Amino acid sequence: MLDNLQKQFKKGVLDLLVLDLLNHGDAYGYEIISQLDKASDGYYLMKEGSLYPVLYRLEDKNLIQNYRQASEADRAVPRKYYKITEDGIQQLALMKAEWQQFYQITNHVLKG
Amino acid sequence: MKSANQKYAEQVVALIPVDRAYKNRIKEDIISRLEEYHSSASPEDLMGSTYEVAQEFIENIEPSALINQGKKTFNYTSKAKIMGIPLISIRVGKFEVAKGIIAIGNFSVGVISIGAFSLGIFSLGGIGLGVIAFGGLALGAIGAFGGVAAAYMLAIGGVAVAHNLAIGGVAIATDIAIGDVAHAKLTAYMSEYKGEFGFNRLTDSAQLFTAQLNKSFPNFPKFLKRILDIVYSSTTY
Repeated sequence: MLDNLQKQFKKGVLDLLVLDLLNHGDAYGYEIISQLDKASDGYYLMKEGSLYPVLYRLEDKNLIQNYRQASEADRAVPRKYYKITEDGIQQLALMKAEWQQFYQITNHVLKG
Repeated sequence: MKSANQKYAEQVVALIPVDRAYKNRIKEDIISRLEEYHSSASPEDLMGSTYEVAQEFIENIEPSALINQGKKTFNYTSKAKIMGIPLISIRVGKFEVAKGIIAIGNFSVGVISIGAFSLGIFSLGGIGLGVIAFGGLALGAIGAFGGVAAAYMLAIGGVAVAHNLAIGGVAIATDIAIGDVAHAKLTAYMSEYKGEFGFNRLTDSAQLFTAQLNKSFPNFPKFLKRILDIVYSSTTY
């Protein structure tokens, strides 16, 4: 049950975390996975099947965009980098504010 | 020639019920991700089984992007196996192939195969292909029975086509055809025939037909002769 709860919590904040991460710099898929893993000491260790649908969703909402960049000669396909858009930056601000409110109110209720 | 990474990615997306554009997106990213490993290990070792990866995607993809949502599905694979093949495999409501000794599904392959599209030793389906096949469209090696039936030895159907014996509304065979319209070397017909010998089922006796059968086809398969006997025994002259 706790596993499922953790999964749901994580799902709820992934869009926010990915947008925030891209707000600090463009990144490709594996880089996003690594950075989230590192920044959370392994708590947000994501599989590809969890990350890519988030990226697709954000892309479809025009909150991020992708572009290709050749990096290594031996790669069959150029790396796909993601960057945050203007809409994404605005949305991120709203999401952060929403998160703060959620965090404070939920904690307040729990302490009460 | 496709690389192992490409094949793996294709196998994963085949399990994810999304449209082609979405599949291409996933496929591309899986291949790209596999390249990041810079490893000669197999894709399965690097990312996990295709089923596990597909499941992870399905759990996280927007429900609106998933095709067949709300459509009832039923999957079952028996633990019992014969020579590594599941005794029973059922895949209903999905674009998956049921493969088992007894296979049931939209697409089925098995010894006994039942499905919209079925392939098997004994095959029953909308379109059935087998050694013995039953179906709207049945194609069989020994026997085919259905709306449109075609087989090497015996075909019975609305339209029946066979090498040895065809029985149907319209029956066409190389050897023997029995039908309202019958085309073959030896025919028993109601309205029309084309061939060397034609016996009208309303006016000609069964004995005449049988005599000609024995003369023209002395080595005709016994089980087919038995079927002819049964067909004729149900006819009054």
